[in-house]
Amino acid sequence: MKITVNGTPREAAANLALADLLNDYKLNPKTTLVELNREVLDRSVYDTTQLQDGDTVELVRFVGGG
Amino acid sequence: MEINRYARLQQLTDIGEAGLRKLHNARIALVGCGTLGSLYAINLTRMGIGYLRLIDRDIVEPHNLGTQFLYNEFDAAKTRPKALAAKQHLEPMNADCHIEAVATSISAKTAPKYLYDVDLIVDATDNFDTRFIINDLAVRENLPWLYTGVVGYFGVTTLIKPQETACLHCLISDPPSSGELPTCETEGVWPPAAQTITAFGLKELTNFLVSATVSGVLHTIDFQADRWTHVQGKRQQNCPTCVQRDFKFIDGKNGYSATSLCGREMVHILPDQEKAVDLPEIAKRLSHSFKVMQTEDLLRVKIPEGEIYLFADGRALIKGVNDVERARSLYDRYIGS
Repeated sequence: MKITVNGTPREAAANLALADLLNDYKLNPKTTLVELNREVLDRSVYDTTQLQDGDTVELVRFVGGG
Repeated sequence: MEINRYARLQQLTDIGEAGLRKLHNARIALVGCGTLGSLYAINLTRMGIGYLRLIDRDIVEPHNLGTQFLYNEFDAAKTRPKALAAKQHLEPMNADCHIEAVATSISAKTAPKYLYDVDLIVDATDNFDTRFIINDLAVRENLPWLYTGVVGYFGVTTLIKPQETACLHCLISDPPSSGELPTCETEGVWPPAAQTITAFGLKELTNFLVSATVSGVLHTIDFQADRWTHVQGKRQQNCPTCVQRDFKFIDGKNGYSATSLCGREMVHILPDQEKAVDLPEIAKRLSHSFKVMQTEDLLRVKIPEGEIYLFADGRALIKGVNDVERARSLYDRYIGS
């Protein structure tokens, strides 16, 4: 299936788990905000969310430097 | 306040004379005077914020000069505390802005003292431990605060208004432990990324002070991916801080706390109570065995393990160690507890 992550289209395995996607990008779920199809997800559904064909995902990471 | 000096700001559609007066009446606490803090401080001073409290625990070192625009080689040579050097450089930029410098660290203990009597807290710190303390205090006291972070070519900012927008604990589930996230020490920082993200932060800040509007948007800028984004944040239904009001980062905490300054081989020691220490006396005692240098702000002691920078309020930076327990023991050994 095709999804778009941070503005870039890519191929993904059917029903890709969100946790696996985060892992792919080496992002820590604790410090990453996930927007799925323009809607920010509640943290409680991170573990159970699977992506569908055509989904648009924005992964917002937080950084501590200053 | 001489309005004419702000003519170019006054002409901006969202500001006008009424807006200028609101900026002049605003009180802001700025936590952290490094790369981000330099940029915020210069902008806030020049735009005529009436009162600015600068808080920073660190000293100016040569490696700061490439990215921290407030400081110069004289500050680094004299290892001046950043807050004091910043005040000295900012004051001639605008006499309308009353600047107070506090050379200390924000902890569970000091946060209520330095962050309560302001309209807005601007975070320009370099770690999440301090940000979670700020978040607890801000939510508890219902104060808005501006989060900004920058690493490498990437920056992120959002204005947090308790009960209206997501708070930091809605956005991040818990402070990442040290070493978990990249830092400016491991990935560097590109000053234009800091400049760009502070521009978004300053827009949010100005909108809030002038028009009392808050977007709740997270702005990000990524110069490596050549991309910026604006994501509407969302409160978490059972946020421990802004929903359940459990302020675990400031409640019941007191320290003789020691925190490692990320990747710097330096540990910051903050005594339990602010206690005045007698710098000349300590200098005299230690100078029998070690090389000691006293500046107007602090005492520098070369020890076999590295170097101690001791401040008059008992705080110290222990250079040459990363381990906080080891730093505590060095503090106890050389300075005494």
